[in-house]
Amino acid sequence: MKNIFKIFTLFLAGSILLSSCGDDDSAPIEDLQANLGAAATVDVESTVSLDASASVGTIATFDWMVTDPDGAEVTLENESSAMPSFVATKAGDYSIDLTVTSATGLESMVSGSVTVESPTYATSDQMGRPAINTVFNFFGSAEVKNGYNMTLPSEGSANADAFAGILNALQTYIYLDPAQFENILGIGNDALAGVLAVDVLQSNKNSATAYGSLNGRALGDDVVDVTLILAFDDQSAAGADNQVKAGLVSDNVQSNDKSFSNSFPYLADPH
Amino acid sequence: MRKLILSLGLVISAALVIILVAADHIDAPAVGTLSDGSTVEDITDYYAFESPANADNYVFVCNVAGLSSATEFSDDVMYEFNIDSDADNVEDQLIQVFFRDGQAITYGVVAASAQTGLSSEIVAGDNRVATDVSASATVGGVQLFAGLRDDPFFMDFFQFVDIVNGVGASLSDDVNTGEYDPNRDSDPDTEGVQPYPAAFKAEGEATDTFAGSNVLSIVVEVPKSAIGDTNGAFTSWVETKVRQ
Repeated sequence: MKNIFKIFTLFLAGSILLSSCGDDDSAPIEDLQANLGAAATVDVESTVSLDASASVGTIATFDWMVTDPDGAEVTLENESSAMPSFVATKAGDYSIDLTVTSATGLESMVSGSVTVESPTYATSDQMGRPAINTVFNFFGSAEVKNGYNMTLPSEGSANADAFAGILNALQTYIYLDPAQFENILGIGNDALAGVLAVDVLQSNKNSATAYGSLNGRALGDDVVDVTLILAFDDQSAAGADNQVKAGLVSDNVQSNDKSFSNSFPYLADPH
Repeated sequence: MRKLILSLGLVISAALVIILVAADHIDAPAVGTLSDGSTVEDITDYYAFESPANADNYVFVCNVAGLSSATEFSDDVMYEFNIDSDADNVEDQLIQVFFRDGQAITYGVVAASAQTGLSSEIVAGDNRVATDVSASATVGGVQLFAGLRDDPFFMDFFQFVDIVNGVGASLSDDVNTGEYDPNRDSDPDTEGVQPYPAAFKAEGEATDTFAGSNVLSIVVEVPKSAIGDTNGAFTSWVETKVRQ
């Protein structure tokens, strides 16, 4: 876990001796010191908080100039204070210039920079359609289950043969003939496995959402029943008289325990 | 085929120790287990649908950390919705949602040109939407929510597990029929062993395993005009990605 806020203190060191004209030894001396802290590095999109509160002297104004890696001036929160902040939305070096002005009109300047890095994020899990890893890798090893979650859709076809084997085994168990099985889409196990192995969710934004018609997935869609029907509801002549399949085309849980909202974010409040 | 069934049978003994996996809840040990809990990397479900509130908008939902007591997101985990408009199963557009300083942030729909595959960096867009967790924000027509919600998934998952474990047991039996055996308890080689079910429970008896449970939910609503082509067809999927 990274720090919530990155704090940069601008230490004002390096003396600028200022005194009034004349030789009066008792005249007040104003001492300003300017020194920028060590260079700092943050992740892109972090909020960077600057801090010049350690400045020495009686300071009337803080005048900040922050420019992004493209040279554009950055808008600061609390821009006239000793502790302004900004969001670092670009990778690269942000330059920081601060001019402090004392009550007597004297100025001191300090410059520094903040390095912003763009980290790499690597896939840990992925999902298009519901229940694919659970059902088709049910008996799979930890390696298989973990590996499936790292499979790009463009490489998903490699799993098709294994998925077809699972469909065949499940159907054999309930006395269906996998070689003749044909579901309501009119396709057999090899074709169905070929579709399911590429784990993406089809949508058409111009027509109504329904998982059962292969158009997106709405919160209330009974995806378990759809999946069971595609896997077990044999439309072939050989499967017409099968009595076992009737108990396997619905889990008989038809809806969620809470109602969904018609306003954003649509999901029900937590328990 | 036979080889596959045999290899299926070989791992059955391990599978009989019921592993709780569901929809995609706790679907792989790297992202979560029942004993250790599901993590904010573990996708439970993915939804993509026309907005119920505005037919000009489309909604993408990624739920994580199901059947878990997790209540906080991580600055190290990014949620990336992938949109493919030309049917090559490679993303053309992204919606990235990430967390900084306890806030959820998205730029809505951005081009994926340099960001395909298993590695991503954050792609900045024109409209930066940032919101505290469990609240929502809208900028430039993009709405963002991240926070704890009821798990919308529903299924009699334990009955499913019993049925599938029956398949495994049938392959492990000495007779190795691979078929449902309603008389399993009276067969000599499996005497005294109750048969596994070969059917779901009747309506009213079936139980929603996920009733009363929560998920951490990321919800993004964008204008339809921002996604896909004018013909309307696209495919999509979601990934959790971890800072390296």
